[in-house]
Amino acid sequence: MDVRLTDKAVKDRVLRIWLRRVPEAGGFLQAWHIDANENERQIGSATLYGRGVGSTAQERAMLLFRLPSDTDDLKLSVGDRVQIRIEEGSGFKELNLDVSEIE
Amino acid sequence: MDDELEPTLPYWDWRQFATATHASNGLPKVVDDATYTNSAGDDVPNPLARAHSLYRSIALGLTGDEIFTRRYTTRLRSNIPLLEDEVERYLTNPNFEAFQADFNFAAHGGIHVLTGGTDTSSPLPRSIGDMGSTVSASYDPVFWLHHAMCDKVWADWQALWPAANIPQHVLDTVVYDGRVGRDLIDAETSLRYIYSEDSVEAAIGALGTADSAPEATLSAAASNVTEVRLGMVKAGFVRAELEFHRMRPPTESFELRAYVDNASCDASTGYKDKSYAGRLVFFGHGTCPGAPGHCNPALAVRDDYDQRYKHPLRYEHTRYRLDITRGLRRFIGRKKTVKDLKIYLVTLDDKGEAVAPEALVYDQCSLRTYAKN
Repeated sequence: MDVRLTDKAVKDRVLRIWLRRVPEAGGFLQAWHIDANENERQIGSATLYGRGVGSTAQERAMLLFRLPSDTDDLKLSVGDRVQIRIEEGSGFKELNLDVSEIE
Repeated sequence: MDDELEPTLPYWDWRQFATATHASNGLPKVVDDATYTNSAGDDVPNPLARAHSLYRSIALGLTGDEIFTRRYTTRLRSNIPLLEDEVERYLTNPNFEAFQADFNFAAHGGIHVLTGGTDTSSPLPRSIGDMGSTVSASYDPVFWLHHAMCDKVWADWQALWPAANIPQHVLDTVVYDGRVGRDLIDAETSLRYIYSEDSVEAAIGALGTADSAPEATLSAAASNVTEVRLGMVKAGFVRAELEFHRMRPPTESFELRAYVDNASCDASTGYKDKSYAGRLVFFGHGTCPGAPGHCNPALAVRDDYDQRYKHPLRYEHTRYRLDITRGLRRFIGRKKTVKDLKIYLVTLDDKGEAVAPEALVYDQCSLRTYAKN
């Protein structure tokens, strides 16, 4: 799942992604910054407290990634592409979530 | 809560870690140890370590040992500094809904995921531990200690921002038993509880011995001595206190001396005896100079809206503490534990003469020990 950095996220150094409904599966998530040349760099991590198999919970949920300060070789800008991945086994894979709002 | 009761609900402050009180995985030992030693000295299963989960046995149809909750805490300890930092950051935000979102979905949810963890041996979907999803989390006993901590963080936020605007829907929503948020949001006033900074170990120490501290006046030859049996005590504490619960403030002045394992102590035993552990001196309040009923606390009941201090002679919440650290350490010496610890109490009047133990009236005496941080 790709999202774009918002003005608020760049300014606050916190990326908040609201989901319409808390997902069934939770776990450890990572945010990867992908530049125009497809170079990837991990810029944040978050936990997702899932509802679990069999739960009828309908509440919305939020992913909160704390973003790093700018460095010489990475400056975050509004509109930058960020890919969200979830840990699976010994690696991370891309995931798709029902996003309602990105802050 | 009932005015007459003082129940203790522990909370797990997951921002803290100390090798004396925490397991290497970051969990407090009181919830991580598979067994604990009860007041009788027997090793028994720790009910805070795991519990039967109906999600496992009914929803998933698991049997045998797999009906019990599990935790895979491989990342908990390394995240403790981050959790501490995050809570500090959130608390600085006076906006109710912003604080609610950041705290709920980061630190609160983070503890669930970190405490649950994952392991290929887990029979739960996606191989998670029970704390890792809403449908299974509350069967793990640590869930309740975690949520008590979440409530404490909210209380800290309220104390920091007393004038914060609370959203109308929070104030108007029925929360429990027909009562709306507005009626419950001030926990100290409406729900009658506060948060203590005492450690879980101290609270358990106090509770664990309070139930097993029968007192008895000794034989006629030593009728001015009270024996307090405190069960098993572990060495390694930094402080040890005898607590006297619901002690009635005495009219006359008295001194209460404590001796460790010395049934023959009396007024002449003094302070230099090796069994001497400590003393409390009570400054008697004297006879009442006021009108009839002036010093009768039963006639000075405060209702919920009465802002006056409690009557000084009310005893429901008194908790006198007698420091016996040095005396108890001396007695324990190099031993790791002492089974069936007995403390002997001598009550003396203002002339230094032993008097009947009934001169001081209290409901219960317990031992509270404090672990190293």
